Amino acid sequence: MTDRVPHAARWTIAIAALLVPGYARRAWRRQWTAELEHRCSQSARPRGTFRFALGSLSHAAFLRREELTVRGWAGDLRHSARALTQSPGFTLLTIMTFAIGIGAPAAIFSLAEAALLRPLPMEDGERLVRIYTTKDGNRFSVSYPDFEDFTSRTGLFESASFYRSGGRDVSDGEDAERIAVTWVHDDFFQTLGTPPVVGRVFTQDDHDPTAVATLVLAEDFWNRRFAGDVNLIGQTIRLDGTPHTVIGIVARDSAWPVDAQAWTPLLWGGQVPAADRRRSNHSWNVIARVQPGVRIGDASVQVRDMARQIYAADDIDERDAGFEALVMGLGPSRTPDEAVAGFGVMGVAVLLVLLVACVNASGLLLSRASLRVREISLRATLGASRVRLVWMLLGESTLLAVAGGATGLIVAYLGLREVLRSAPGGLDRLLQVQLNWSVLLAAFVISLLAALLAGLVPALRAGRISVAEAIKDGGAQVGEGRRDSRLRRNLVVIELALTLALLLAAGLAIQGFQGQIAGDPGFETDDLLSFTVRLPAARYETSVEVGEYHRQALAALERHSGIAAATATSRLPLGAGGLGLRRAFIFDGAPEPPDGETFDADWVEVDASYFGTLGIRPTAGRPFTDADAADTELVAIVNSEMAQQMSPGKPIIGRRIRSVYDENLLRTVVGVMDDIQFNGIAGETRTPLVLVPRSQSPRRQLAVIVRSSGDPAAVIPEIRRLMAGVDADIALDELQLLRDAHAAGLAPVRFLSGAFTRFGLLALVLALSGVYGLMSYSVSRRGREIGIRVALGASTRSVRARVLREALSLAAIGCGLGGIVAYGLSQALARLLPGVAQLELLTAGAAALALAIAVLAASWIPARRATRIDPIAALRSE
Amino acid sequence: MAPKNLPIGTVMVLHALARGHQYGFDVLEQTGLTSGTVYPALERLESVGLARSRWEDAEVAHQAKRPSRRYFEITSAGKEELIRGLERYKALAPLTIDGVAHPQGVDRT
Repeated sequence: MTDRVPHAARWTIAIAALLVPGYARRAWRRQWTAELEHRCSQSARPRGTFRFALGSLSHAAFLRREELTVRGWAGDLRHSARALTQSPGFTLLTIMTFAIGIGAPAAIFSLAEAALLRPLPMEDGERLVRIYTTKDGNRFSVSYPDFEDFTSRTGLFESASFYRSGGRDVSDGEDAERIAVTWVHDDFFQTLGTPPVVGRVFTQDDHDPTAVATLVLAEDFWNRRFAGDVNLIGQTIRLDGTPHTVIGIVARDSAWPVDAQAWTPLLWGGQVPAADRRRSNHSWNVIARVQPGVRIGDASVQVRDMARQIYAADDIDERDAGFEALVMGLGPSRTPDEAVAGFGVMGVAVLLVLLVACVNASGLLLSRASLRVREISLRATLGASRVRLVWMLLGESTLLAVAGGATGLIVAYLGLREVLRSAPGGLDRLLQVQLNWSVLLAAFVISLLAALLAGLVPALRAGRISVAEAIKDGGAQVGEGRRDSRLRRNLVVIELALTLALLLAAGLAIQGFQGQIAGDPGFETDDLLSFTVRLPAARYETSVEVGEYHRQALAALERHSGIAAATATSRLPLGAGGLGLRRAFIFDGAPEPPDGETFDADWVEVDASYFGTLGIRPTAGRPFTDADAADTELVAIVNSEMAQQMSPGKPIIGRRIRSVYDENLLRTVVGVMDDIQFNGIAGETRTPLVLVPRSQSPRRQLAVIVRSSGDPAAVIPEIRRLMAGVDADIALDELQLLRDAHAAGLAPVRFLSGAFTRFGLLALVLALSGVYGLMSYSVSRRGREIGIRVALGASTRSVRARVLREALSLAAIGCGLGGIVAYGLSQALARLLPGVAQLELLTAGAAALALAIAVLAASWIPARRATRIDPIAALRSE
Repeated sequence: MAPKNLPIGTVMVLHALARGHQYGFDVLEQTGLTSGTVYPALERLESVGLARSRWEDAEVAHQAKRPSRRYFEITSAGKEELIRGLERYKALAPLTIDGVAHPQGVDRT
């Protein structure tokens, strides 16, 4: 610059130059020097030169903004997208890797979203809650005094109500049918905010004991049974023979509980029944609507504190001490605690799949970056800053991850819908998987995370490429130095370790599940059918009438030629239905709690024909006989588990037991039977059982088991016909094959174990493709070295062995690390899922061996390729 | 990517380039715009492909005893964009405010 240029202008340019991005700075200075020079040469006294020079500031700012703004980055992205379409193989492989890695967590998230996060579709559904009492981590119902205290004394709730559900028979018009009825307290529908579709919902007057009994029906039940007849409103239908006037219809989606078919008001009329004045009578399900602005978590803490105070008071019964309370969103409350634990386990599994996929993609990106060393260093030479190079490469991995995420999300969504639809047990109704905003957002966030995880190492690595390296000839060789290949090897080792851990954890979980699915029920289930009935108290008042129905029903069934045997019980085995009662027992003369210990067992009332129908016999003592009647000695049969628990090593037959809190009558143990799968889960094969003769404890609820002599499905209509002959107004509920009932109960378990298997296999595929990629890459990179070895006389076998040895050493390190991770994982798993076994060394060893073999197989093709390297060609390529 | 609706300053710069003014300072003198407008505008026109720049041959510059200059010229896309721009601003021309005649067009030469 000549002296004609004023200092102020020169300084301005110097300062503005600092603003200009590095790649453009020299050219910019040159341009402005020329411009100033020109301007100042125009006249001897250049006026306004300073003002002119000020323009350099906005010019510099413009260039800087250009680099920083989305436009600069978007330009890079466009470039990346174009570059990616030019290597479709790499692009497709990476997108698929991301699709697997992101699809799996997206699937689990959408399940969790449906089950735990989404509020119900009522008005302001996110303010609706359930209130529970809790003890030792279990949720319980709430007693009336608790309800009063929790809802009116805290001021947290806008409104609240409670309900109880049960079954009632409807017999009007068509066949008798058992429906799910819910008895509700005041303000029930008002709290829920459920509007009637037709008619009206309950008002205060409907709760008056002297009023006409009213009924609200669920829309789908109304459509199915009454063909959506609007004229039904105001008409009477009978529940268990008692007339109820239908006053309204509500939509299934906005009603509660989810499976209710009809609602009827509790007729307290402002009076609290004596039984419900006791705090220990935890028998009501409480729903409430929190005040606007109150957070559910805060409400839960306040109610819990109140419960602690109440249950710490001196006047609280010993058995009630230690109760707390919990407020929970109404939507999430549908999901059982075990399922929440299941989500936790699945979450860990899919995160591992995500990690494996990211590590794999990282390896792919790394090898791509090393092939692009020339391009990258060219950009660096042209002045692209390191930050910008890293951003560009991260942008590329983001493009790939988002594309993969979108693919994965769609596949996961369609797959989940299919799986849920085919799953029995109404899973699809509970889990309405949707592609809504929160799922999309989650998938997007996971994709970005994956892009960062997978792309950061290759991008940082590429950003470090020096310009000097690039200028050297054979730039393609530069980035593949020892550092890079070590990095890739480390990535594959991590991948193998994670895969082994995931496979082992999946194996353990499946082992646990298999135990539940495939466990021997302890009796022959193939020809068994079951159903339940409930006799209405109005028509079956006395135990004589109940006994008469029972006798007639079984006689009718047994007379049929297609039926080999029939029996009635209170609860079906294999968790297939009926009345579940758990009672606490002590020996005659033993101290009662709190001083003495009780033994819990499931209480089952059975006929003498129970054993013959199931095909089991007591292993000691005698079965029940028809001689065990209401007026003879009270007797009981226990299973081995109960005998073992109550009287380890000593005979229990002949001793007398009683259930302390319930029946409280002494019963003599007359027999011991083998354990059977009673609650449907083999992990609970050893449920302690106490069986008592039905004749000594008659009940209006019956669960009937029928053993067919031919095809069991064929006698289903026969059973309906025979039972209608005894009493046509009694509905047969859950008439099905016992093994179907069992299978339906296990559906969630099967679903989980299937998902686990798939995630393990996905990780395996990813890891093996990673090994394959690494070995192919390593062979092609070392073409010259191998060529020299062959030229110097190395045999085909030794070349192959060299490659395989390298792969095997990776597998060995990977398995070692994987074993450690798996050990930690199995500990966590055992805590989350009871019934999951500890990791055994043998199992771990076998899995590691299998993985090593798979690794060898994956490196076989690269190894063979190595043996085919032509030494002359390889040497000439230099 | 052709930008929509170039601002009037940019259209003026493009117009100057179209008439053969190649040099930043030259454009500035012709349009009467400030340096803070002209240089970013030239940069922007180049980045969106409406103009291109080249450096003056070093030999020539050396002989003239000055640093080499950066010369700009309009591209064919730039010409199309210029016509569109002029059409747009021509719509402003026929207005008179309080009897004061509006200068015809944007070109003051």
